[in-house]
Amino acid sequence: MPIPLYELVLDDNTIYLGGDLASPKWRESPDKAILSFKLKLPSGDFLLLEGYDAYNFFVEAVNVLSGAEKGKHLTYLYMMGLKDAVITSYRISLGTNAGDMTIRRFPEGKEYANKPTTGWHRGK
Amino acid sequence: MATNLLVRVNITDATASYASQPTYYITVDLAADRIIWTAGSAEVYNHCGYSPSNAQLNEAATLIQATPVIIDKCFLDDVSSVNKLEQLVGCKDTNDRYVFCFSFDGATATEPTLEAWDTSAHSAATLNVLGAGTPANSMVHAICTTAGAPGSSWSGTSLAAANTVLLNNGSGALGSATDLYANIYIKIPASYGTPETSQPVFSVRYTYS
Repeated sequence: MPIPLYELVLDDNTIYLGGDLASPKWRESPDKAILSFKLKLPSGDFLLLEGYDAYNFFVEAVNVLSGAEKGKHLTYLYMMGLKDAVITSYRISLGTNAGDMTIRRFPEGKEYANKPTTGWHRGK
Repeated sequence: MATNLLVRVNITDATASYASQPTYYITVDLAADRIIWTAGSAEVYNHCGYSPSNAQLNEAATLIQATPVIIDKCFLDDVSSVNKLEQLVGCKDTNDRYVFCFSFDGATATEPTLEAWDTSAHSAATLNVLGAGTPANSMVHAICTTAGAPGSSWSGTSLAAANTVLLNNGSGALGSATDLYANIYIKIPASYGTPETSQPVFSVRYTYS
């Protein structure tokens, strides 16, 4: 059985297992506060976030429609935590240098290309 | 759930959306098809029945002129069809709304963007057609037409590197399945000094969860 992409511990102490890169199942996760969010990195290690007011997660893809290297490419995973109106963003490369991580902080609402993201789940 | 993107091009009537006239559109096979901007020639023309060779495309190249020139034709090299070359409507600075259609089958976490780069590494834009390192000088002009027609003599965004086009007209992430639209043309500056045959990468960047 493949290892899930991530694991959420919810405030009723149940565990929700995410899907895979093709279908992360983040939006389908239960409407319950998140106690902790553990992401499996391309290296096989894990990244654990907890104590945030809210969490977000998504996969970035580019569809190349011209040029010599056409098709769909997955580029990054984004794992985010919101605390006191500041978002900490963990961007993990899926392409060249897979697993490289960039950690940045943004004001709430400017966390991706200076714009807000959707799909947030509350934390506890 | 994953959100998937299909890229379609309009070959019939730029006043008709994909939802209203799906048969006017061809879905691009991103792994096999090519998009070709060219002046056209006796060998490179609509429904020519073959995929032109590089030599044929060189013969059909747009000539640099003393005044700015917009590349006259945009074809989809639809390798799975008998016609092969299918000419797109629009692809000029005319008031054409429904040209490139980006069909998303679900929600996104961010607003999809249209971009142009040297290669699929998406790290540099040094091709002459992309402004030779100065995105503002890119010859590729693109505009979001999701919310309305672009108007005549539109200029849009000089597409290259960080100069991107928000495909939902700046309205943010998609909440559900949505068709987004853009128009693109290539304008060569007057007396441009460096002839070039290039394969810039046009990409749509989006996110899903």
